[in-house]
Amino acid sequence: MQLEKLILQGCMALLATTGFAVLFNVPPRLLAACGSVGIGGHLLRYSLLQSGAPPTLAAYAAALFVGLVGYAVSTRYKLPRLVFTVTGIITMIPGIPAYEVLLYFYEGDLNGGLAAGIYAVLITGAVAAGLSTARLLIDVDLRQLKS
Amino acid sequence: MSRLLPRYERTFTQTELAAALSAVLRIGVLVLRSGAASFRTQEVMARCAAALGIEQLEAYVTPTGIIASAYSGGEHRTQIRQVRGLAVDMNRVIELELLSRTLPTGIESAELHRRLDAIEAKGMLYPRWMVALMVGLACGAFSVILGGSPLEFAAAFGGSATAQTLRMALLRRHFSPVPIVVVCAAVATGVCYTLLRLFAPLYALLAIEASLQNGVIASVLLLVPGVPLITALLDLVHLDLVSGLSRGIYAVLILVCIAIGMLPILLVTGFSIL
Repeated sequence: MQLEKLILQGCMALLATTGFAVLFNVPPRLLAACGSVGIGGHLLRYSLLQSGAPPTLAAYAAALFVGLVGYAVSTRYKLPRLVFTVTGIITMIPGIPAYEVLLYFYEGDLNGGLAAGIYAVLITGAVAAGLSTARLLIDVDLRQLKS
Repeated sequence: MSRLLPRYERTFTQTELAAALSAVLRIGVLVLRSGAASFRTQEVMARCAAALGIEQLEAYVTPTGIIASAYSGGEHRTQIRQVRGLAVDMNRVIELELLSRTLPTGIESAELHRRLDAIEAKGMLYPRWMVALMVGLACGAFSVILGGSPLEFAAAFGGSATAQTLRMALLRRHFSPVPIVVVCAAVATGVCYTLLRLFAPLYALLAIEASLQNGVIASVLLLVPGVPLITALLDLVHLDLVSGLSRGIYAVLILVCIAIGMLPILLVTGFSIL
């Protein structure tokens, strides 16, 4: 049962990642690599959430994973890392709570709106922190201010 | 960064320096408009400037404009370029990045312009129907990730594929992102809701538990400004504060537009996604 769920989530993550990769005009030869990074990141986040980890920690860990694997893949293809990280984190972006804020406010549910907004900000922050940690670990140039 | 670049300097006349700076700014605008973060844009510009023989380049990159000064042999030139229409085009980012890494030292700015013309002439890699299809599948997949059934997958697919087709048509007519997102969010929600209503008998037939919200909330996900949202925070981490803030505001504006586009449809149908 658990395995079935994981396979289903993995397939859906593959569809979501490659779908957005096509929207972002990623060259066809890189779609498979983007999709694999997306599956890995999503499954890591999904299993962490299932085992009771807080959403921010799950998003941070998954984004760190995407950042590190994206770096490895981008070195292999000698291409900008951005291509693999931007598509890999698509499944983690908290788009739904972000646009729901206004809908909550419209219905007069201020608490609901604030909660959704803060949740969206925290998750986005966690994803950016994960990607930045990966960059800082790998890229020596970024640890110091450039003059 | 600078220590990696080979030192190459040439003497420019003022006109030549202006022409070289103009070429550097052109590649900067192209990279920025294709969805790259500000620091990456600066890196690409710095590499081009070094290849052209500019002694020192100072670039100030924001999502709405680039200001850059080129210094050479006691002379300097400053130019400003406005940037409109941020989009995401990974193929172009890749090509420009590779171009900036492989520019021969001492290249003329006219030659750089020619190479940029060639890159700019290349359109999207995928036909429009395929983009609409893939975006539809992606949004359908999101509805299943959220816990939806195959029927919600189909409805989200229909809504988002229609909205993507409309978005590409509006983009070709050079509409601004604000009206595009509002209209596309309304269309995605409307089509998805209509499909879910049409599917109503199937739920009983196939004994599937209805979770209609999952379809509707996934159908507008194609409009979420995911790349600007993350790039904004990466800009901030790099201490590009102005750039990060303006990109973040852009992302929030688009998110508000999605909600505004959905509202009238939700009002008319009386459907709640919360």
